[in-house]
Amino acid sequence: MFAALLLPDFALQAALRHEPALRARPIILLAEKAAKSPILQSTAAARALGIVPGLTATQAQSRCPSVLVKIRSPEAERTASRALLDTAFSASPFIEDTAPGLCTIECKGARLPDPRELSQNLRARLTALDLDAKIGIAPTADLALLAAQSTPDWRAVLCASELADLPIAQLDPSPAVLGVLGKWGIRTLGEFVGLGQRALVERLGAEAIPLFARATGRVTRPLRCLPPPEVFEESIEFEQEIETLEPLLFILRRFIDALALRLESVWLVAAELTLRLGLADGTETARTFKIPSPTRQIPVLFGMLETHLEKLTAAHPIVRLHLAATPAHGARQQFGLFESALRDPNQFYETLARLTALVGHDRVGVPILEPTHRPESFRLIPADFTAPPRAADAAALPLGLALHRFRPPIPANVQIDGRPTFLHTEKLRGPITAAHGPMLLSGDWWEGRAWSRAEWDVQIDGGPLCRIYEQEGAWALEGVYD
Amino acid sequence: MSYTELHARSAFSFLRGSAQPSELATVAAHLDLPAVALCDRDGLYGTPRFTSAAAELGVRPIVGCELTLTDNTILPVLVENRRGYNNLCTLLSRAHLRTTKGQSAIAIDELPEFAEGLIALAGKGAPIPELIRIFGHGNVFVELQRHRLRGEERSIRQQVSVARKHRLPLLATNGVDYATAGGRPLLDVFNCLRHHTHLDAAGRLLSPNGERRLKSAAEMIALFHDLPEAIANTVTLAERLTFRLGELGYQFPCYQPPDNTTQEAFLRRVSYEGAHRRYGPKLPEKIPRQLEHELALIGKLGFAGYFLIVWDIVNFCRDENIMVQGRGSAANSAVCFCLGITAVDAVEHELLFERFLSEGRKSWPDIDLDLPSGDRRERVIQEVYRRYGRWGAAMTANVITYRGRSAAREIGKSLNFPESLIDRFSALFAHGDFPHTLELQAQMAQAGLPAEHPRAPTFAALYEKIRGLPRHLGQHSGGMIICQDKLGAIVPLENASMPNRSIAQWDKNDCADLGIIKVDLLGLGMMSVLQDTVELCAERGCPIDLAKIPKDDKPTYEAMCRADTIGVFQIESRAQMATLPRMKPACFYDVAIEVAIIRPGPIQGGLMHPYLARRCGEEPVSYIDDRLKPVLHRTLGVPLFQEQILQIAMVIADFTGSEAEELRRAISFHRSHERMEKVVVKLETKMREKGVEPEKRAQIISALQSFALYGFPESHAISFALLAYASAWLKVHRPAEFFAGLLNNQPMGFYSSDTLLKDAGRHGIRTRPVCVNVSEWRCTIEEEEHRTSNIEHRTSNAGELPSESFPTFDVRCSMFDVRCSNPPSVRLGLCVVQGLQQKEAEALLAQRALRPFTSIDDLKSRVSLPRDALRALAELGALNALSTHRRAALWEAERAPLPEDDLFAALQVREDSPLLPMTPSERVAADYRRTRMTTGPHPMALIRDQLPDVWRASDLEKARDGTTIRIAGAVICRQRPGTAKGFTFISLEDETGVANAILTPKVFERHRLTIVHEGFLSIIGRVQHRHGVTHIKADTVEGLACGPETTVASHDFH
Repeated sequence: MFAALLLPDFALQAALRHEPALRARPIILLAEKAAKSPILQSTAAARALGIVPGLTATQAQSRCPSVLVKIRSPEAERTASRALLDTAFSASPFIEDTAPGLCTIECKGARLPDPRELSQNLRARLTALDLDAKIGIAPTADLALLAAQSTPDWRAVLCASELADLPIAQLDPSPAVLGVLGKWGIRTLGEFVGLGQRALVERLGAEAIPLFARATGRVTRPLRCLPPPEVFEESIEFEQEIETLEPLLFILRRFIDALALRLESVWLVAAELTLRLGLADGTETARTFKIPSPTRQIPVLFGMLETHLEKLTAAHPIVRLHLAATPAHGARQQFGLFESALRDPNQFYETLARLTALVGHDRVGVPILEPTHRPESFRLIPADFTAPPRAADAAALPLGLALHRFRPPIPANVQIDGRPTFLHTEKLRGPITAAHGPMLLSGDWWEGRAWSRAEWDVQIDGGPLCRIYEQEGAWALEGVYD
Repeated sequence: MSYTELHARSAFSFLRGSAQPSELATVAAHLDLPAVALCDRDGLYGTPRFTSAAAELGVRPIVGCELTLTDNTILPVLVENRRGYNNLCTLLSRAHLRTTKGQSAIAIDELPEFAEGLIALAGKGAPIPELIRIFGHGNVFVELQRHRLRGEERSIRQQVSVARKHRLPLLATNGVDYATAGGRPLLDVFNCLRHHTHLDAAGRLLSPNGERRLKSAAEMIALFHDLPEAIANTVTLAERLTFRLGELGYQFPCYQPPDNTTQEAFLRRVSYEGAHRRYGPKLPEKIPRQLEHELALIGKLGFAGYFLIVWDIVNFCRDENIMVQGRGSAANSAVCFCLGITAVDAVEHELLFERFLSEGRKSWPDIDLDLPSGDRRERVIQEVYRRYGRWGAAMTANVITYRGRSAAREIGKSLNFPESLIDRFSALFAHGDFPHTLELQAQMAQAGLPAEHPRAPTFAALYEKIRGLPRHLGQHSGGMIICQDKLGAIVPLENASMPNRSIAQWDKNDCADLGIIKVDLLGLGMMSVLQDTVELCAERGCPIDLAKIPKDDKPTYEAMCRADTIGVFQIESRAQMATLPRMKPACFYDVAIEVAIIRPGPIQGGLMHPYLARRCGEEPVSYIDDRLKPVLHRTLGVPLFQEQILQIAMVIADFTGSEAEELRRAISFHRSHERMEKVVVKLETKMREKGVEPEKRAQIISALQSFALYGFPESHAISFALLAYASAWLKVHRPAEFFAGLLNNQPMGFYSSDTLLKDAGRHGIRTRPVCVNVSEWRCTIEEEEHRTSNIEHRTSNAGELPSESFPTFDVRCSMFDVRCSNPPSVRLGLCVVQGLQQKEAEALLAQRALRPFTSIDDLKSRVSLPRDALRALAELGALNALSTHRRAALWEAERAPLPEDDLFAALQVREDSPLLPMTPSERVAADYRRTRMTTGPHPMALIRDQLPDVWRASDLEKARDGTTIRIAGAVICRQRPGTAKGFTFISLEDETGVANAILTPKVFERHRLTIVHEGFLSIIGRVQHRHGVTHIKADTVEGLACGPETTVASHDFH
């Protein structure tokens, strides 16, 4: 006996899974980041207004100005898929991940479950996970799927003839074949089967053979079973909202203990921890911790989470906690003769994490010069301490005198008489004997961040050759030349 | 010390400069620069505009160009004299004509041949010894630019030292990319577009500062204080560059008379011969007088050759059986009429010859030839190329500028806006940005770009700045220029995107300003229709001569008065149809007025309503001044035509012929505001001197100013009226041939094929569906007998009514006077089938010519058609003659063919199709899918039962004025004319006819997306009966929820 668990409009269900209040509204789902993409799926409320898949978003808006647009979310689909499979595993170990939003279960043995009981049980579990499933039960896997497609909730069938009224599109023929069948006026499985296999093959070619076999329920195929899941995640929903750190750390410590134990049983270590905190307002905050030297040592793993949580301020109390460990095999690394690993990489990264917590996420990293005309413009990229340091490219260095920069530049007072004539800073002071400039630079004019500056190279009487500049009315000493 | 800028680029360098040439000229004048050289990239695209703008502002324009060499380096050159100019043009033409459009590369080896008369500017890294060898020592200058950037001094020092070494003069330029610093952001945007990136990612591709602007002498002198000779040399060099663009050396080709007489004598001879053909052996007294007057002026101005060459082209068309008619101001000339160039008798219509040719006229007269669009016009164009060669003839360019959508798209892309936002912004233009009423800020907000968005102000500013700048070069619809010698040495030529076409780098106005003569070979769909209709009539054995159809045909005027003009040239639009019942044309001149009156000029000038009111007797006929009575009596005292404006100026302000010509140029299309102002002042002064009262002066000047926007000459209106009348006459007297002609020339005109088909049905013309055993490639006429035999051919139409037996509606044959008892039908041709290529259809027709097809298997075995083509034919019923119904044909068509050597093929039992016939609505949907029209019922007829409260179009006349009703139908026309103050006009077609709705701007904005995107609409509104026309003033617009699953083509916002 086979059961097919089908989540209709799977992508849309996944996108709306955590927003149940929206499901009754007219909503359309578009493909990810595709311009002018057609509507993939729409809610029942939208369909009632004539907003059907295939129209464009603009056409949908013309039919209902308040229609809500959602973009397909692969992440939401992955999670929903995982939830579907988890539910299926509760019924049988023989599970096939047939397609997105569809899994097939095979029930073997002498005592098969009652179809009604099995269907209702699975539907109830999925409803609890905010998923609406249709379930079909039949002697073959493909027939079970067709049965699922033919019902709003669940249906058990024994032979294909019971499904004669099912739309032909449910057989999932190629668009070309579907087009031809449409022109013939063939709309149901029964009409399709009625044409006869030989006549169909003569006209539709080889594709007609498997289609006909499926439509008549004659296909028996083994499932491509999934291995039992190695789930390394723990989660809890609190009955009481958590407002202090202590109870949270207590639960987390238990999670870490459990995860470490499970990892140890399969000879794996944790390469990454993902912490998700569900807040009382329905939002969630998540953080992923990469573990530089994968481990399952409890103090190391717990230390990372503790450091993070000590500095975390949540806007709302915590109602849900979820921790997942990404497993990996233990590191094996052969160093060169003069190479050495960090003595304690995890300690080093914990220090970095502390620094990040202190100064902010955007203030730790390796500076990279931006390709812009704006001097000293740089951005930070995450440091990769495992890569060997690169030698500076001599050809990329600017020609001419080397400039020793003051970082930050030193504010200056400059007297002007057609050109700078006197410089006064906390480091340097004196009349200017020669000046070359101004060199003009400006940019970023398009977003209210426009800047412009005028640079001068000036010779201080009896002093060094300096670079000064004026920006937004203020002068500064940028550096001195060698 | 003075300074001349010798290296500036305009936006005509296409993404390498951001200023209009005129802006460069204005700023140069403001900065007191004595001269500026425009050096656009690989062309002289902007040179004429820059020259005329600069000359008007007292700045001396210098011609130059940046040449792209094969190693991708750039060599700026300046033109010293005419030889240099011709060399530069030849070089550019050669580089462009040997490659694809938009490409140009010159090998350094090619330069010596064309170096004479050119000055080379050697920039950083230029191969100086080579340039000296090519251009000569005195013709190479080392170009120095300072843009206040760190590091540039090092290269300047290197350049100076190289110059000293080779004893070359230094030349300071600023490498100008924009007129003022405000042009720099747009240049950055162009840089992004050129490199396919956006501003956030462009980094060092953007300009480091805004110094590449035009600078004053003082600024440049300060910048080059250490190298004063570089500044001084700009003035010395500029003095050497004496070439003026006015001295192109252009000569129109000579016509060689066959008898070795002069061109003038030959023109006289052929004109009189033509006159005798037109008027008979004894010429009316006025004719020789007018001919002599015109021939004298033509001879004096040296235009005889031009007339003969156009006459020669017209003769070629006649020889090749291509219908041709001259239009434009040439219709004012009796010589053109006698030569057969035009069909309008200028003497009979008292047309003003001075509008065409006058002594004061500096430019060439304008003769436009209307030709049947498509292949026949292409044959004429290719004949001109054949006669004058690819280097001797070219199409004029059409400069495509940034407009609403393209401007928004490019700016949006460079500002890194998501594609969806740009799409939304574009969608809000409602098809065509001319009648756009949405404010920019509101449009931005609706598209999801609120004013608070940090980039919104930049978007708005750039959007305004980029509009009107050149985007790329297209080709003019028909303007050709030809030259006695090499045209490519007068103006650079390049390949068009179309094969076998070359275009000049200048548009028609530039060519006209520089005295290059243009002959417009315009394709007119209606000419094709007329020619096809005449040929179909001849094929049926009832030939007609359009030149001889009666001009006073009552049924034709009655049809016009009923606004029964769908398919009729020029008077088929919504606005025209709404005016016709009020205008009630009763003679040919009324048609000319009807053509001219529904134009932006008369409407905006407030002239349309007074004219109609006077015509209907609602307002007395009065004249601005009694002296103008002879000028305005034909138009009831209201000035409607350009000629009348010129005559008014001549009568009331004593304008001479030359002054009238000046006025004509000022009120022609796209002329400068300034020129208009000058003429207005002159007219005002002269009228005041003549004692014309201030009130009358104001009236005349107001009429003049409205004409400046969209002036329409009387001769033009009469030429168009000829076509309008001829098409209306054919629709009334030869409807089957006329509709066949229209269907064969789609897309054209105002309405889709489907609307034409439905209109044909309302006129008792049956349309037969495509049939593989009867249809030709084009739509043809079928007599009744043929139809009967075809029906007989269908043996067992089990279950499906043949398309022929679809009911037709409201057959009002009684209004026609010919062949009502047995009207012929139009048989749709294979050309209407989407998915069937012409060559496939020709193969099918060739086989059918041998013997008719007897079965689908027979067809499949004899013609190798792709599966989809066969499927298309079966789906739309074209195989019904070989099968029982469409689905049965599909069933047979889909079956895989048996191998040719299958010995048992004959023994195979053919089973009957198990498929059910299509329902009527399925047949209609299949028709629309495959032919975009149906010979079956209107889609609305199929859902009529579901619309109990919807009024049919034919019933609207009975509705009481002011009552609120609901109409519904397929949208066949959406229009928002610029002159209608934001009002929108929508036409909905149902099975009984067309219902018209008017939408206020408020209603339009409320339902904008529904109106623009829905194919079937339901409109609730109040009925208005005005002057015999019924409209629904819309309150609510909805998509038709139960609308048919078909898409009907509509005429939108054109």
